[in-house]
Amino acid sequence: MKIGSALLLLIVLLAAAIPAAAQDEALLNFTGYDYQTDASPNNIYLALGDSYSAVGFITSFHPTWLEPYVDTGTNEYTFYQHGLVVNSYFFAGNVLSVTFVNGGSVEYYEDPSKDATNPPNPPNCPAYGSNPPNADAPSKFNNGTLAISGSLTDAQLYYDYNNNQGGFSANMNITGGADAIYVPAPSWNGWFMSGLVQPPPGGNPCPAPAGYDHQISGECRHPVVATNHGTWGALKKLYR
Amino acid sequence: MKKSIGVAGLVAMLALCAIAPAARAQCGGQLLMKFDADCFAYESNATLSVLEGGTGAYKSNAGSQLTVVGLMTLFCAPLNGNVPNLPVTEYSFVWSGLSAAAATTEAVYIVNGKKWDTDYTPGNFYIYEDSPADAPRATTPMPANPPNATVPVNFQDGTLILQGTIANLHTIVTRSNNTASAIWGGSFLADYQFTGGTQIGLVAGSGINSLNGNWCGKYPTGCTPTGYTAHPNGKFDYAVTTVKGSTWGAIKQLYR
Repeated sequence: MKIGSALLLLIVLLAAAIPAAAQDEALLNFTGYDYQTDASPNNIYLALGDSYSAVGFITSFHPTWLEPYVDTGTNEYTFYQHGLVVNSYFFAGNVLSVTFVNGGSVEYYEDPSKDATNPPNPPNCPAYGSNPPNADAPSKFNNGTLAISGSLTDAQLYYDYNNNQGGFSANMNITGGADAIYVPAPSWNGWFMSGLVQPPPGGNPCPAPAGYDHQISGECRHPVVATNHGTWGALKKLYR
Repeated sequence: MKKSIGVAGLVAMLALCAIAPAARAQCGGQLLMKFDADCFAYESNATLSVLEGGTGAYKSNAGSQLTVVGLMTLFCAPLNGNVPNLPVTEYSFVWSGLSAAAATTEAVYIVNGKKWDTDYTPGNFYIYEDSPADAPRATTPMPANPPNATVPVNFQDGTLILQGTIANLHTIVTRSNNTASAIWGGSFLADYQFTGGTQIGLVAGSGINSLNGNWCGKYPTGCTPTGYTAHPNGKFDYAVTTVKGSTWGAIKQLYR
């Protein structure tokens, strides 16, 4: 009898672990600016060996996985995307496309100092500084508590100079951080997308920071893995 | 009696807290309004591309009417008095009147990937403040096959706080290769201008600004629930043209 109960319990656990149809939802949404760092002096945007980075702010969170655990009144939530080195370069039809060596990462921080926000904001503008990396960026965007970190693989970027818009995308797998425990483990492997456009000139109250290449807007998406639920009756029926 | 006054005071304080403009840490740059997870596009005449590697994207046929519905998640100065507070108050929006100027073009991207470009004719946008919130969200989920009982209807109820025009909308969707491990990218860019709404006075003099962001067209994923063609995630930028002060004397000087 005891063995039978244990077997039944095992079956229940296994049944609960079987993933049903997978869907994906936005884990984090963000906006900010990107920049490149030349490996050696050149006049080519994202030439072979150049590095691609971005900094900015999280604008919203997954409503059940993360939103209950953040406090946007007390903290600023920033991100820092880095470690992406160009390993292939294509330019055709006025469209640039590059791919990056695996090994890039993106990190999300919770920071009560709000030094990137540069309060009161407005009238003060966020501390992007000029011509990054600089005294403000990335240092004011990668301080505080590391909330979530992720690896970026198979990363690529395109920019269509005919339409002055482009995009960055990669696989994004969660690797750690204080808030990672709130994201179900089966949902850790996701993907990352951001749209890129040139910053408009001027701006009020805060002009676009000088020396950045694009303003970006995007999200990382992660699968929502549902589980199948059964009843004792249905389980018993299987063995009759 | 004292207890009643205390309760009334507490209720009043809570009400004030609920409507007080929050300092939004995420504001800065040209950002005026942000929308993200809860925004979806659908079209009247779009066809799914060949599912290479099991994934594809919708391609517009000429004249296909585009509708975008969504929820704002963030307002920055001078609109920071609007604070989305789901499920109490939502700021929903609809883009309509846009249609594909021609069929989506399909080009080779990198080696064996695809790049899809679409231009749209001008249209309009409408932003509503509505309480209680009744629009469906990505996690509720989005009801299939719009237009339906709640889409776009529940995104266009409440007080029309802002409206305007959208022009030069261009969308791009990319797929890196033809395998299941393909990486998808996308973006959109348009011009917009405010023309009306109860809060038009707050953005007077803003002129033409940029509406831009990410355009996720990957099918099948959460970006394309049944009957939807894409998931935009973006923002309305804002840059007021600076007015330079002058004097009659200075003007006269120009003509001397």
